[in-house]
Amino acid sequence: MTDTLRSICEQCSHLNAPRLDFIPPELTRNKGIIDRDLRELVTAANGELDRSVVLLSGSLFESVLFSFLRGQETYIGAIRGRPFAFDPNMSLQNYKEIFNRFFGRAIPGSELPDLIVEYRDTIHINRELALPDDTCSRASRDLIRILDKLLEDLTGFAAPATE
Amino acid sequence: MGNLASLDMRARGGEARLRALLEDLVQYYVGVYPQNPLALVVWFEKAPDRPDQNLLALFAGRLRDEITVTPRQSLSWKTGVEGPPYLEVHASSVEHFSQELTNRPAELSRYRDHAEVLYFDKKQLNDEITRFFNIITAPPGLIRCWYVDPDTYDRYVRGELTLRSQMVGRPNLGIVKTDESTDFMHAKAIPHLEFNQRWLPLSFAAVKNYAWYSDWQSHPDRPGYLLVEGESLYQILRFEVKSAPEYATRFQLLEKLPDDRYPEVYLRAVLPSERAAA
Repeated sequence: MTDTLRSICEQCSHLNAPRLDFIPPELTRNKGIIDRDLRELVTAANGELDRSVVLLSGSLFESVLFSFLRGQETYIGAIRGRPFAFDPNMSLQNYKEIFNRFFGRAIPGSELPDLIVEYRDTIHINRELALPDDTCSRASRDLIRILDKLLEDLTGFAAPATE
Repeated sequence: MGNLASLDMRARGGEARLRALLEDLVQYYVGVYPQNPLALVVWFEKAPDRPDQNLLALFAGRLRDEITVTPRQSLSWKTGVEGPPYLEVHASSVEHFSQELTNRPAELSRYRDHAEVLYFDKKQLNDEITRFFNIITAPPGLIRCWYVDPDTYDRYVRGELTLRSQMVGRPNLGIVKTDESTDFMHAKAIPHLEFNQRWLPLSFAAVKNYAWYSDWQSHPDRPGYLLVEGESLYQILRFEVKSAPEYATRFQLLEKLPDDRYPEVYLRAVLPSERAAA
């Protein structure tokens, strides 16, 4: 048998006790939204609600990357050799590509797989009809693990360097 | 807070700035024709030290039966400044360009001259174009796989579903075989996943995020299965990590893992007769 969502979630320490120091201090509303959604995600996972977990995880990938990348315009501009203006109207696909390109190596092992976008888009009647029955179940389990790893990577990135 | 912007970044040259200007233009092109999404952008006859640059932009579907060359424009178009660097854009459709590749390949060779692919969407491209521009998105031996967890396999054994029904949607992983027994019954392979449209090997830290590994870790007594292209079925026996600096070159992996430690999945082929007996 596969692990339950609840048991997976219990092992995801960054979902249960998030430290959002990687979000710039001025983006307090962003932190509030992410905190709120993480609490809902944990509740949904504890209730074994696959579809709610897929929806909330997808939304959280967007919120976390949106907030993180907004705070990194200067860094990205330095890498590019030209100012970078973050476009807030873009999609998870774009956020993921920007993140992988500029941070995939700077934060080793943090690259996000393309499947997070496909998993996030699973909740649509036409797509669900075409996919195997257990797609949401598998997507929810993979997504919360990947999200937990992303939060861990970003928390490590934001932590002060030890002497 | 750690911010890489505070680090002493090495000076960036003119090419990086030029590339950034081109990328801004590419971003604009991505949404310019909603019915004809951008499929490919190639920076050809690349010479960053010259004032004039050239881009080839291909859009999905059919636009016009020609390669349209736009009037020379300043790359500082966003700020309204008229000055170098300048750009000429050669625009066409995937369909028309493919036809031209068949009919007049010699005339298109300039697009490969000192060329760099700045953008591609492999869903919108065909094999002729990806080969022409040498766009490599997977190592040569990559096999796409769909994970069949133990519960799903039990349902298959009870006749409640077909394995073919599990092969829809994006593959759950890819594998590159590193060893195979002479009777093809046993194999070892490196798990891969797609990152920005390229199949890359997964580190040990990364495999832990996926059901095909974590199910085995939690319940090694209840194996899961990998259904591969062509509908062969493999049982997952175990995972091990191997230090193998030679793997990246030997198997032409698209990226080398920084520590050269590659997780490998050990597989056993499930013969059709065994599946029927089950």
